[in-house]
Amino acid sequence: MSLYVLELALGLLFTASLLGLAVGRRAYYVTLASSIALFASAVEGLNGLSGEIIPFLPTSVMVDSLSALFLLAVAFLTFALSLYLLSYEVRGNGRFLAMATNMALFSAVLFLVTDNIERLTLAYELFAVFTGVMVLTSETRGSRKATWRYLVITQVFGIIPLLIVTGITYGAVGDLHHLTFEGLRENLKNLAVSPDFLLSLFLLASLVRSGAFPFHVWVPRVYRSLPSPFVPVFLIGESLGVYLLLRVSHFVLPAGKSLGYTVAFLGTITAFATLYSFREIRLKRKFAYHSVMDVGIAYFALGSSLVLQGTFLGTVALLGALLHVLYQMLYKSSLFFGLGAIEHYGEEPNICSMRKLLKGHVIALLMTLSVFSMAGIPPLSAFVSKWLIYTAPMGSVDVLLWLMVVTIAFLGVFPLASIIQVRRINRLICKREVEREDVPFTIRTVTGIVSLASFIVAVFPFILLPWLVKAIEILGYPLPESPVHLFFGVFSSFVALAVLIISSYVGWKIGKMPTERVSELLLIFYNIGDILRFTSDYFLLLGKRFYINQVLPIIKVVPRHELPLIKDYDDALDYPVRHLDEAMFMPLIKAFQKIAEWGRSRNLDMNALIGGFAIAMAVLIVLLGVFA
Amino acid sequence: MIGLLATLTFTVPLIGGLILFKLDERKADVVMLTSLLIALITQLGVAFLYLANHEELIHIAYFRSSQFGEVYGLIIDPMSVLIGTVVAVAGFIFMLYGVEYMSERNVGHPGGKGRGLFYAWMTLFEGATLGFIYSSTFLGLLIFFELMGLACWGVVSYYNTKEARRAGFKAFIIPNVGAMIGFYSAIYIGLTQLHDLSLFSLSQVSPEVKPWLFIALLIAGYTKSAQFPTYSWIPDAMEAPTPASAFLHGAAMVEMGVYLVARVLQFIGSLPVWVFYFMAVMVSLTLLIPILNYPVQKDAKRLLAYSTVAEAGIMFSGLTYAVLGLTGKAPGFDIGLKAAMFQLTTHAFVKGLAFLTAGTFTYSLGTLDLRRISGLREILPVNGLAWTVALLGLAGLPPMGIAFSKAELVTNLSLIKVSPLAWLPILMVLTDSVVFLWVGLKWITRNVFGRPNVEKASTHPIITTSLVALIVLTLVSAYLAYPLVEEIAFYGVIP
Repeated sequence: MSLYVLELALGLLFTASLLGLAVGRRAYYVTLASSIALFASAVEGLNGLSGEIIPFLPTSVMVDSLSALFLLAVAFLTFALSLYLLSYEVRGNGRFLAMATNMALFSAVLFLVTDNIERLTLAYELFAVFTGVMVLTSETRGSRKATWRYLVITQVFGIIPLLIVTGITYGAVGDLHHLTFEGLRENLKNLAVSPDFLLSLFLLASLVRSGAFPFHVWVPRVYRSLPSPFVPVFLIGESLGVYLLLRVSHFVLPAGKSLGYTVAFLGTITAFATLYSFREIRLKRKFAYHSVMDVGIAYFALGSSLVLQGTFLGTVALLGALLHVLYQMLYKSSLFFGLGAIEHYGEEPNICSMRKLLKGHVIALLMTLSVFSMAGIPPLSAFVSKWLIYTAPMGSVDVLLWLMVVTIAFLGVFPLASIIQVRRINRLICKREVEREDVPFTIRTVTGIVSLASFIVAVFPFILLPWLVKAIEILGYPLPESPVHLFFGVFSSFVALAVLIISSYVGWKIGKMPTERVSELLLIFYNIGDILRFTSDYFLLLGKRFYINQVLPIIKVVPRHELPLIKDYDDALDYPVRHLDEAMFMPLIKAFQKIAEWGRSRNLDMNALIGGFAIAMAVLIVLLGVFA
Repeated sequence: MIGLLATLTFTVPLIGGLILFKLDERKADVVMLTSLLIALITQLGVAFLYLANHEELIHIAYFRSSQFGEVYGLIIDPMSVLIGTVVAVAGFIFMLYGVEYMSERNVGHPGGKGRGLFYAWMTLFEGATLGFIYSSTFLGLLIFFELMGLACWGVVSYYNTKEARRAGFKAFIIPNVGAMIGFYSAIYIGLTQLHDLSLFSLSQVSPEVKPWLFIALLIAGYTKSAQFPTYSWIPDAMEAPTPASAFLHGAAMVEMGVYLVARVLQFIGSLPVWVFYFMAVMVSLTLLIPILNYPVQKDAKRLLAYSTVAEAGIMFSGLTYAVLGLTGKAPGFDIGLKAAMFQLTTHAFVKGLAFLTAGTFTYSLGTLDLRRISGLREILPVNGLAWTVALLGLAGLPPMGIAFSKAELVTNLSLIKVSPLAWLPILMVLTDSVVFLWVGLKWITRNVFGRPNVEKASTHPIITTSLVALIVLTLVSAYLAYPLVEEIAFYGVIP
């Protein structure tokens, strides 16, 4: 029964995508219906669902509590998104956006429910393509470049590693149909490479999908290009990345401490994005950097859970990672839905447009709730998840983890500082609000629902805790007996609590300081970021120079003196192509050309000549066959 | 019945082609389309009967002799039915489009009178290709191979410019060199050692001679498929009218080189492992050429031609892994063979779509210079969509069918257990996809989403219909083809 519901949900999303091409945003009614079926599947999935779906593309499905948890979040966001978009005037190509959004959601659901590695790769790829189409068809300034960068990065560092994983695991399992996580776990000894190699490939794919360091570069550009209400689809994508790594590192492949340290370190570096958020005044980019930071914190937590695997602290870190991912999907979605209200008026969301359009509005209130959730103000979302995330490493005696958690705690100051800074600048330089028509009811309602959901699940963590615990029960790690045990079960939780409260206070103070002053203090970090960027640019330039100076003269006829004038690929388009094989065959070609010229000089019809030759040969061969 | 239908599939276009040499204009349109439609219907009949009767392999020997064994005959099996259907469907769509492309309304190449000659060569081309696909003997293969070469010369040099004549001769000579090396060796051995020209006798060739015979036939395949070191005839062959280019690159000439080697692999039986090493290196060198050339191409058809070299290389990668299945190292491993034919099928439609769209640039805008094509989204939306789907498809992105065949090819990576060299072709294939995606996205963003540089451009319902049909086939081809792909297997003795 439940698999039918899941199939129904997927079928409705697919139908909505086709309808989207024909009727535009009205297709979101079908998306809305699919979200109900997704809710039902997620709830059923808690007890486990398995089997095969999609008769024309048989896909094995295994929904456990972990995937059901993520599926529930996706169902909720699908519901919110579809309701919101019914009233939202899209400025880009609405039809293609509707098609691509529904297909992206379809792929996300498929990604979560399938346990077949080949189908998972397909779902990953479909998600990348359709989210790329979303950016491209939003037709905003910079959307073309953003799509280009996004798709190339996703293809190179996300899809290709997963394809390689598929190929290698196929070798171990020996059958596409049984190429499941379970099949891989059972055939680890047949792998032609070490499991660490597979884990590193999965890690690459996860980092790209989540927009974590060093693949975070697509995030700000894409979020800025996309109409704000569509950003939650990318937030779902971020959580898919974390889900993938969590699934393979804890449930499928034996992951050692070294992977844990690597993931935690990459997460810590990713969290530095918050410093870039601090100096950004364009709201979408600001929140994009915040999003990168949140992803970083989730990866740090996931890494800590691997380092502390099998201990109670490891469980605390793992639950913290799960909570943080789920929370950030909610509060960040609410934020972007709020920004969508500004875009609804046809304005770019920035600090002033917020004051101009939304001051005193209920949306402003809801957004405030979400930004405070993001900033980790007690007792809101990020506060709750960070509490667990800080507790785990602070309870250990691992120096490396301590160093990283201190860095994360330091960086955790800036989200609140950033918000206070926005408020200060807003008062200083922006005009007062003007009279505007109210935003549509559904836009207000959806922003409110998502914001309140984020608030409720954070303030009452016991709502989600049974799901979370059930999700990791199978791993055999020590589990918390109650929410009190989870939050106060170890001494370090008090240390973490103190750090969080101090962070909020320091963040408040920093937010009050002039931005230039803070930026000067943070200059060293910005310089490090710039060095990293310049280094990667340098290597890209080096590759281009090598191509132009060394490869181009081989494949094209370029006069030597003109070579220094070629600075880019486009400068080389007009030079004639050099065929390497022609030199080899030139004598033969010339001989035939001479025969042709000789024939023409004697007024021979070359068509007839060659045609006659072929017919004669054919007749000869036929005769040969017959007489034989 | 099925044998008769298969025979009609290639004889009707061959006869139609010969008649067309004497016709022109409206009459030529009718005869050409009728011939190709009959070929399509009979081919679909073959496919239907074959699938309905759940046959495995049907072998019909037409001529036999005591000295030469089987001289002419047919093989109807999953591979020939699949590829025959691809050629018949694609050929019909390309030439339906060709009727409008060859009209006087074409801005870049105003046609009209004289198109009968083009139709004649094209119809012969399709007949020869279908004949080649069904042939069961080396003699049959040779005849149709040469006929294809001849038709290729006819269509490439059709515009009779200096460049076209040169390209036509080149396209004729290079595969002929391969034919001389490959087919004449095979026929010589067939006549002198086996006294049988049938493909079925291949496995009986002595083990000392077999690898060398295979290499000779491989050279025939390489020349036909524009593989290293004989690749450049295909970028030059873009001088042909676009429907011919689409057929040449997508469904016929280039693909038949791959088909030939696949057919030989099906029957040849065991091979030594050094053949795999040789092929792995050759295919990697082939893939290097388009990878290096993509970033500096400005001509739409030339860019696609390099992609053809790569895509044929990708098919050969599959065959390279299939060779490993014929050695003692991975006995019976036939995924490579299946993947190659799967890739051939899905590629035919996506490449056809790409070429026909490029043809609409000539037809509607009068240029193939990608720098001068901009804003298709507004002026020619269907063409813009087709260009996007085609380029993303060629880069291997889903949901285009070619993504699934490339994914199947990647499963050959499991052979790294057998030989570390198995990494090389796959890595080259993946690199090719990445570089093509990078370049393809650059052109999509400019050509489709750029600011239009003309206010209006004309198109025609026939052209739009052809493009839409190919977009649909690009999306569903993998799904339709897969049941037959799964049935493809080795027939020779597997070690």
